[in-house]
Amino acid sequence: MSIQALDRAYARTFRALGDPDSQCQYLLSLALGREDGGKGTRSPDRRVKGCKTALWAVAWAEGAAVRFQADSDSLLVGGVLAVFQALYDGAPAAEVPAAPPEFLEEVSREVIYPEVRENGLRECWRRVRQAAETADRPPRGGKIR
Amino acid sequence: MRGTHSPAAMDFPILRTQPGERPLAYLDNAATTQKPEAVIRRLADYYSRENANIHRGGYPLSLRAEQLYEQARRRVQGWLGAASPREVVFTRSSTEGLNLLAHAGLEAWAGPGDNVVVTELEHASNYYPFQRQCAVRQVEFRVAAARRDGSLDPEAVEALLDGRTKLVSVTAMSNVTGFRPDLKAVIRAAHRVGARVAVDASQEIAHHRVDVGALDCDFLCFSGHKVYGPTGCGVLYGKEEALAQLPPWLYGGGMLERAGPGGTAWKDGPDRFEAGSPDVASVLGLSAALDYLDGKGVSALFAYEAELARYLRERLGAVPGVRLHGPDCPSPILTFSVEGWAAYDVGVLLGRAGVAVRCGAHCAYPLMERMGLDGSCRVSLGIYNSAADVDALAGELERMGRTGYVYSSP
Repeated sequence: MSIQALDRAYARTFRALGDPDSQCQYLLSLALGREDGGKGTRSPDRRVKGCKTALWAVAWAEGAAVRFQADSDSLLVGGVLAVFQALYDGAPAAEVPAAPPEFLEEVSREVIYPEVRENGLRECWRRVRQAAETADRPPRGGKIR
Repeated sequence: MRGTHSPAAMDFPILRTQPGERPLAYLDNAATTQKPEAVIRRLADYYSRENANIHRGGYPLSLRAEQLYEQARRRVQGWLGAASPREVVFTRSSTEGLNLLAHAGLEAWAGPGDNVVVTELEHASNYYPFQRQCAVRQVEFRVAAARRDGSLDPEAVEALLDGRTKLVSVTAMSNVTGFRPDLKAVIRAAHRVGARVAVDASQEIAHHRVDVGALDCDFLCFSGHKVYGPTGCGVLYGKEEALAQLPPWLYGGGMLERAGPGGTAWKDGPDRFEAGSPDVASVLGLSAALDYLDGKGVSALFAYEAELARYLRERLGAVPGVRLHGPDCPSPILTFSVEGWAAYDVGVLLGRAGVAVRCGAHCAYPLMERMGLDGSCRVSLGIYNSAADVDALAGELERMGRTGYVYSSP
């Protein structure tokens, strides 16, 4: 599935959940369900500054793919990072520039505050995009994920 | 305390609930307070019947608005115990008052080799304006360290003072922990070396009577919206002789005595610092808030609030997993964290349950760092809060601790 298709699927899920309480529950379950929880990401150089929560993020290119790992002290933000990871970790770098995390539009601002979006999640997206720019050209017909 | 209701709660329309509605436990009063009906009505009355610009029109409506504005100045003078209404400058907020003081005060009094002293307890608005102006004017910016628990030893300030200290700016009550420094000791020490003292009373003003005469501070500021008045209006108190030494900060209409080819001269008194069209409605709203508090019996309201603060500390301290931060003394402002939860999540989940608290660094980064906190939750009481509000908060925190991430839905 392409990044955009996956992003649309998440957007549909958040829309279907509708109210902020259900979205909270869903994000918490995503965060708690993360295999490693991004714990290895926590280092000062990866800290995203200016965010209302503690947030660490790192993105890098691996051949023609993008890798993304992130963690937060907040479970709610951790749930969003789980979606980011599903979208971008191991994704073809060539797809990334046209696939911003639009599912966020469907997440209530009462759950993920504007300040977290602006200072934290926007920076995560910037790091993913930057990593994609340094990736190799994709192999012909190659499947990355 | 359980079952006790505030004598003021019914005066605040936003807190009235209809049958079937979930009550709002508004516990973020350090950020802003709700407004009593008297204040809301005052704003509507002004705009309905009295609105005109002041200092400009010679017609009755404008003259009447100007008269009301100056009456409000006298009202604030009385509330603060200032010697004259000429010692009361209306600003937009504490932030604006402190920026005014940082700009004009350093221009008037400080130069290379001098120093200014603040403390780690300060809110950003009482820290960064001075840090910036010190950098611009090559003045040394000195910061008195807080204790690890968020309190302040006045000797930490005194140790930084010398003959080149021009200004000390210190909070009367921390917006993170509610700790109240020994202001009289700080002021005495600063005056001994000839320094001026500014007091940030943004939090103090809503919980204790302030008497600038007894305190002997040179300046004091607060925001109207934190003491049940509207946003858009603040106060900078200054001793008349100290204000007289300050140059204007904002330039424009209303502050000129004369202007022309022969030169420009500024008015004396507060007008010098109130360039442009003032927010008359908000000033009248602040005056109405002070009238409201006096009418209800402010001493009794503050005593009620102090009692509720004791209950808050006791109740939250007994919730498993809740850790209280700050000095061990009851205060209407209390900061805490919950084991296993980020402050952000606690704030969001409490908000979903109808309990409004603040989470984050509270615009007090040096203090948070000193206390070893990345973020925290802050509960802050107002005169309308009740034991039921505290119980609602404690109940949600207990539920979070007990059931993990399952919390009550509306």
